[in-house]
Amino acid sequence: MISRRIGAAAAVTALLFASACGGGYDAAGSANATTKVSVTTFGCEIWNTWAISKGVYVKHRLDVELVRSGGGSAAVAAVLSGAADFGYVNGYTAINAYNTGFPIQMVSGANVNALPPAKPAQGVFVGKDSPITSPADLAGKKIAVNEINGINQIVTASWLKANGVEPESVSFVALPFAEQIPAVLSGRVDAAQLGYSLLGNNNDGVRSLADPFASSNKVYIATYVAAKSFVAKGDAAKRFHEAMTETAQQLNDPANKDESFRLLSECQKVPAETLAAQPQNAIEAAVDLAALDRMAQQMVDLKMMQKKPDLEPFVTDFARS
Amino acid sequence: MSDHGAKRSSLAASAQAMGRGVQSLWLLAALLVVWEIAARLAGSLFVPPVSQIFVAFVDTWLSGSPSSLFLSDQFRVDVLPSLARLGLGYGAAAAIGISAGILIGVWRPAGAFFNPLIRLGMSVPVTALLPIAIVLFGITSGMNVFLIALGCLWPILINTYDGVRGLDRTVVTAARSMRLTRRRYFLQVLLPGASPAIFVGMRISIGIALVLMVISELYAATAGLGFYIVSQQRLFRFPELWAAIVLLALLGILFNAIFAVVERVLLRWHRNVRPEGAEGH
Repeated sequence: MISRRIGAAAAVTALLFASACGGGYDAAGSANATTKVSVTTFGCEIWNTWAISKGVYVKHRLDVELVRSGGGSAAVAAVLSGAADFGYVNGYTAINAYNTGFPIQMVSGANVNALPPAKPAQGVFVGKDSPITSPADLAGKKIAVNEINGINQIVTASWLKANGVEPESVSFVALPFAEQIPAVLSGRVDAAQLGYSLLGNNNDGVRSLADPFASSNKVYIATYVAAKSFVAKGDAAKRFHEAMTETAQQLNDPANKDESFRLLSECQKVPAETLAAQPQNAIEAAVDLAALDRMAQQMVDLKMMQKKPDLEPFVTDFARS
Repeated sequence: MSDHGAKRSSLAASAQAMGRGVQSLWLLAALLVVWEIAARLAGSLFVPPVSQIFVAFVDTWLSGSPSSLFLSDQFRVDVLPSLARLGLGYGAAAAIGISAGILIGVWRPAGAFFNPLIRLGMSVPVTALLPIAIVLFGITSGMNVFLIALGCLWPILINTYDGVRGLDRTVVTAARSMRLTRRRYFLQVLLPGASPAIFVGMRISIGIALVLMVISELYAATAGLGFYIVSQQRLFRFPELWAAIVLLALLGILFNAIFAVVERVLLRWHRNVRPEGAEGH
């Protein structure tokens, strides 16, 4: 009787152990097990809606949980504290965090700016009847960006500098994207830097001076970083990059355009036709080290960094183009 | 008492004062030491050691020339605008709050009439009005001043009202029987009688003003301490960010100290008439 009870208890313990530790999951990503990973998000990224609905993450043995983050610096804090495994940050923020000494590595690219001949996806918008017609007219004016020292400010400042305007002569004001165009139209700011896709119904009320991103060559608008210790622990980061690469290939296939906008439309609650009509940034999972290097140089030129860091150890081998 | 005795008692008083100083500061000193050790052991970039914050503090705020009282350019660019907004907002709140509080305290129908409006105003978190303030005032210092003034207004107004309503009835009756002119009644009875309560409201509002100064500058600002904090966070410059937080704490302590001195001077009579043992309550 006693031995039978001991046997039953051992079986229950084994079962509990299997369900807790096994069940196809592991913490860091060892062979053949599905890894549960948390990925920070700002909302509806087209690659996430696609990869989740098409099972791309699952195919790469990743059970992705999306976690909202308030911005790039919050995403870096999340990956370092273990609150998230992959942090969604723009390239400038990622370089800056790495340069400060945070133990992070870039594991994947996601979004880069649309370069000519593609239609510009970004603009420096002024009111339709504004007397501002050139970068020089912006000296002494207020420009709205979504965050101070964020990607939009850096790119706009670089564009101004390239056009002979000292960025210090301009006041950058942080305003949420949704409030930028109303602020331009009411005269509270003189210009706003944002994407065409964020104009809402104000296309007719504003005009763009230029796409500032175009003057910066290739810019990583979205990348993913992970803690160095997480990358070293297993192959989950590599599989995440492979999933992103496959997602980018599928999204860049013109045959999938309509479906990708339909899926994004469900997330963003914006008609798919509207999304399809808006110029889009490009999807690119591979990380171009030369482009990152240029971005670092821009920050040095804008005195945001004292000297350019060595980015070799920053970008994982598997993520490079 | 002989010279020798006087010297001894003076020395004893100094030692006592020093002892009190050590007593009140030892916990802070111990906390800073623990912080320093813990931060060095943890190696966190988000919470740097105190020594690093101190260096950043001096470099950021006190690296100016002696002719500029050692205040740096950064201090002039970010701290002076913040202090100007705080001063204007707090000053406007004090002027409006004290005047309105006295008016509704003295004139009962006005009190009854404005009471619902005051309750409503008090219940709305001022920070929720930030987007409205931007629409009303644009991206100007007016927006920050408005929010600070609105946030500080209610505690001053309510305390002034309470101070006026709570005047000692015997004193009021005595003043009436003496047939004081309105002006003398206001200056010699009402205002002094209500001033302890007015000071309570004004003191509470100092903290509120500091909080609102920072919050209103986190968003849609082009300069200021709040703007500087956000800016440093985006650049991952955490020692500088902590240096700004330390500066805010020091400003809070300074304002409270100034206020305590002003209160002690202006309300000396009140301290003298308070019952024995009421000090500090």
